[in-house]
Amino acid sequence: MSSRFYRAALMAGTAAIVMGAAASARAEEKISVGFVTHAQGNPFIQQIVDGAQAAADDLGVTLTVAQKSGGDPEAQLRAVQNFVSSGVQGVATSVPGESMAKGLNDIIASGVPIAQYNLLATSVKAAYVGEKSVESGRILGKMIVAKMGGAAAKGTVVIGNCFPGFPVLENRAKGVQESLKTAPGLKVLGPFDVKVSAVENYNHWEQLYAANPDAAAMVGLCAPDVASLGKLNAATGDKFIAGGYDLTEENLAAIKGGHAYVTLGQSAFVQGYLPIALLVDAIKNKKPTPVGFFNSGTQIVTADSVDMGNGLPKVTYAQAQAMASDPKATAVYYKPWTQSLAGAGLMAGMKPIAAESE
Amino acid sequence: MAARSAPHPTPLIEVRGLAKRYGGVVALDNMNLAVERGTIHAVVGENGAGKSTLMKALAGAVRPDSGTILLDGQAIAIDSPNAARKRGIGIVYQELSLFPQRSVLANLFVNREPTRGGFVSVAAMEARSRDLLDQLGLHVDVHAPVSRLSIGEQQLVELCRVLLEDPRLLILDEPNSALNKRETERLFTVLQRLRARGNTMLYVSHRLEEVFAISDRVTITRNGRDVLTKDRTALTIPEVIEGMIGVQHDVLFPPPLPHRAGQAGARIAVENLSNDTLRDISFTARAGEVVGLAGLEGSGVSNLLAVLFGTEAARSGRVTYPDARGLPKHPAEAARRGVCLVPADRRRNGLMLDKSILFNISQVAVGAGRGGSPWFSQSRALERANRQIAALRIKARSPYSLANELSGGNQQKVVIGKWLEIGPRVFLLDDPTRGVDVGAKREIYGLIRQMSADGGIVLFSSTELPELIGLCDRILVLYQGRLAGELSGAQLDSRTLLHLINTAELPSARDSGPEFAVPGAIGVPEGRP
Amino acid sequence: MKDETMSQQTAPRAPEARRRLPDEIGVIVALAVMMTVIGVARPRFLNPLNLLTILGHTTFLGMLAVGMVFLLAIREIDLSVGWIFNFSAVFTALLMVAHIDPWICAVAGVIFGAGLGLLNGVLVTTLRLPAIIVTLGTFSMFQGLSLVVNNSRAVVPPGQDSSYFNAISAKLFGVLPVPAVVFLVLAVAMHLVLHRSRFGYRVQAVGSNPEAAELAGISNAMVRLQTLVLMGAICGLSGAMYVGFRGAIDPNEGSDFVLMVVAAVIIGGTPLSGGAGTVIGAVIGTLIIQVISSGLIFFGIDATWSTFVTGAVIVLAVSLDQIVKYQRTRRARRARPSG
Repeated sequence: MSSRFYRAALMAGTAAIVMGAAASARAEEKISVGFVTHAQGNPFIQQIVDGAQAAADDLGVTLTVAQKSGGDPEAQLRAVQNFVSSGVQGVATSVPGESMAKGLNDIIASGVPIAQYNLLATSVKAAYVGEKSVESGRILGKMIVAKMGGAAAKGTVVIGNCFPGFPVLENRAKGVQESLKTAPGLKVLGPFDVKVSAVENYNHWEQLYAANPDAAAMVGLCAPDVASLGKLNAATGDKFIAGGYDLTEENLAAIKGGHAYVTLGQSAFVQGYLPIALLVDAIKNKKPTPVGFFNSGTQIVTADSVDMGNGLPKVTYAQAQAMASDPKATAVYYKPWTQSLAGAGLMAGMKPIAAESE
Repeated sequence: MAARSAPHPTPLIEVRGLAKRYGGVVALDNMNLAVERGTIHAVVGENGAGKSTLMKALAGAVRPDSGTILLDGQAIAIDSPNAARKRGIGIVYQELSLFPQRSVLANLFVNREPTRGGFVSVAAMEARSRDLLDQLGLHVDVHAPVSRLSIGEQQLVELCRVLLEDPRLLILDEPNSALNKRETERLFTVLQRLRARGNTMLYVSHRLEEVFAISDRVTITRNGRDVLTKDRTALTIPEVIEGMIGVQHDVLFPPPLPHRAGQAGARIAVENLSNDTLRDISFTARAGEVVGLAGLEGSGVSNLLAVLFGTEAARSGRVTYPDARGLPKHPAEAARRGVCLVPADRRRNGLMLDKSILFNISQVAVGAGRGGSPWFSQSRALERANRQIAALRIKARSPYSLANELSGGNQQKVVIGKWLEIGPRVFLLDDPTRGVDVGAKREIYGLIRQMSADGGIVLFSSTELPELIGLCDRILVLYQGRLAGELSGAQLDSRTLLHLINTAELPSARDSGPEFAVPGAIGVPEGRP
Repeated sequence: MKDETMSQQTAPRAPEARRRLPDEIGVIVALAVMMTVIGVARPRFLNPLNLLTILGHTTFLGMLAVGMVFLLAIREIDLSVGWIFNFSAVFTALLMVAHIDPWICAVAGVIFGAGLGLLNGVLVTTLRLPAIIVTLGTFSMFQGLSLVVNNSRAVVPPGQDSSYFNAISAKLFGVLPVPAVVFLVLAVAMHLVLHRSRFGYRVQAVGSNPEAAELAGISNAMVRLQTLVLMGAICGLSGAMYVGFRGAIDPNEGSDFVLMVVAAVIIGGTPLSGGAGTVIGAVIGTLIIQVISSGLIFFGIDATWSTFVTGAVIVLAVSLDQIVKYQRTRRARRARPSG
């Protein structure tokens, strides 16, 4: 029995020490908010977190981030609940599953405001910051069709979805397929499951290419795809048109290198910044966040042009690449936009939730 | 085989013409037995005589190839341990089949737990076992895990478990190998009490003094048959030993080969070697002689070889090898120093059964050797395999045949072959001809002669007396971890050897049965090593 | 005959020492210490509402852990538990979508889970393979079938104001969530089954010494089958309750359950070597994992540390388990002469 005792005590001691060592003192007077992500070690998610941190710094609130991996809704809901128990006044979270809705609504009803970003559940009674998912899909699809020769385009297009089941991704796929239909000569395959971790993502695209060596275009719907497709193109002689999402360093490098054609951004910075701003506003006014959709803004990047969305000034490719890895530079660049949020500007862009999937 | 008039007309259990083979090895060959009700019937014989197989057949753990078993005069088939149990046959095996982490009570009532209201009733288990545990003198915490008990106590728990089922026939296979004097006395008191109640017991043992102390009738077995069954009072120990050895088989043992010069001085000197099993063993083995090791199971023979090879640790004492160093710390070191061990259980410890002969023969050369290329050379491995297949006359289709496909004898040759590849100087052979057919045995004897003629030091353990006597220049006998005696020259005959093995004493005028009938006088008299 | 110098250890204490401390005292103390440490630094942690929230977090995983104890006790592992959970929940939810009475759907879900467990069991016994290998295959099978059936989308049953949903979402005495109560009742029941029923005795015998168990007339194959069916049924129960509690089942819910479940059971003191099992320990183990999770957030620790700490605690628990085991066998070996 004594050995069990020792080991239990040792376990407890270690856990406590590590926790204590890494803990930070918390000043109780500041507003504190929690931020929960559904992926860990993902550059795109990191850009969102950086945006949230920028908002926290600007608004003078304490931000704590909890990164769950695997897109497991139950674990994410637990993190949100733990945040609430620990005393934060608001929580921003992505919602990778319907099963989180009930729990989140309970929290909102108990007086703690919630803001959703990047992934939503329509039954959650809170604001959602994200892109217009179907619309962005249409844009991507249109660009691919144009690149392939417009309405007379012919060939096979392979679509890959890194997380089948996520409504946002399903919507994007829907939009892409809508646009691809404008060229009847195109054969559309997929969407196939291409997995979200970088290594598996590449492997799956590789297999899809091996199965369809004459594919004219390959289109991804999530953050790791453009980088994978770029690598694949480079390895096989740049035979297909690659398109996808998110302005991560690797994706931009792939486009710069000529191995990928287009990547659509969803303004990661905004998806991090705006929810925090909405939360702080709600906390200060002691009410929940408004139930509405806030378009984070679609960005379109090709080797020739960089459109950062949200009416922001154009930048060169080099500048875009620099920003992708530099949160401070990004914050500075977005200053005009963050300033526009003052006062009534915060709620100005709000649309009904349904607008997200228009 | 005279049968006295029994107290009851039908024997409780009868065995007629039981036969069982394991591959090429005959375990039972026309075994007959008749156990009268209310008696303690002892079965004695050497290892391999068939005692264990007979008991296993009665207990349902083994299915005989032919023959009949009669219970109460009715022929029955005992298909499984459960079937045996249902017929009231209980067996206490020599190898304990306890559940170490489970409590004593859980062990006593395994699969027969009393329940109350759907739940197992600990109180009922306690109540039912209290008396018996008391009689056996087992005063332990019955809720503690059984692994915390001493081996002797564990053996008593196993016995108690079977006794609780109140079997009509209680089979005891070496039940007191781990018990001390007092525990054995208590055991015998319980057995006598059971006999008085009318229970019947079948008692297997190597310890002839005990057999004479407790049993009513004795059956002597040899080579899978029963040779003699008599009332204990009409038998003497010498008679029993005679029955156990029987007529010498005329297995041709190769004559000693001429020594090769140059290695004459090499020797292993063992001084006061002790560990958990061994007590103060001292002897010397020289190059050019075959030293035999003999002893009952548990006497320490395998342990001694294991210590010399480095798989077991010694607690005290010193051993000096031909290279002037001490005990190896682990087998790899032993192999590098030219010490090899051919293990008793070749299937488990000597071979990789699912690998080819080629792979097995290169095992030591590639595995324990230092230096050399990091790459496995298939061609050199083939060379080695072919060399040994030729030298040892291993009968196989090709070097790529799997070890599993070979007969016992050829498997043993592969084990020996893999060691010969590294040119060892000390050969530790643990029962190398177990489960090997006569032809292969002869060849292995030749190899052993060759090993010692080439200047190797050979320690050869065996449970077959003819082998020991035919091959060895001297024989060391171990008894309960001590060196009981050494035989050489004129003393090397079966009778003397068997006596020494079973009683730790040399036969003398003292050998008449009834003197050993008193419990309490059992044990090694003072003054002997 | 051997002399009295048999064992280094004295025989275990005399029979009056029956009132021993339970083996689980170690982990209970660990949990208490952890909670005290966190509570002292962050008093809000000890708020009863927070503690109840944490208890609620253990519910669904904890039930699986309770079932896994039986499997680990016979030295087996069921890798498919997360997907039996998911598939059963999906099955339950789809039946509800078909407008069958939710209570019946829930019962059907439990039976469905037991059925999947039966499939595991049948494969294990007929193929004579360890459960870890069979369930390596079945977990993908169940996952795949679940995705096919729910079309990679969440299943949201309609009519969530019916009696089933209300009952599951209710709180006993206003504070205790019903699923947590079910979890605790299940834990107590399984504890009794493991330690006081003949089935539990058989399970522990098989885990302690499978060969001896066969010799004693216990069918190892039957025991394996039964524990796998039990595991499946518990997964089904957890899944069915999950649907009632969360009102939806997502397609990937359950994918990483098995790791946490096994970790909880091992932290709680059930050794990987089999032969012993502690249901109470598994409950405490699940609590410990959730307390660590919660504590990390209370301390505001950087997200990346949390993964490290959770992993470190598991490694520590397992290695301490090995050390204890090694010490015990050393002590036993010294006490027992070999040969």
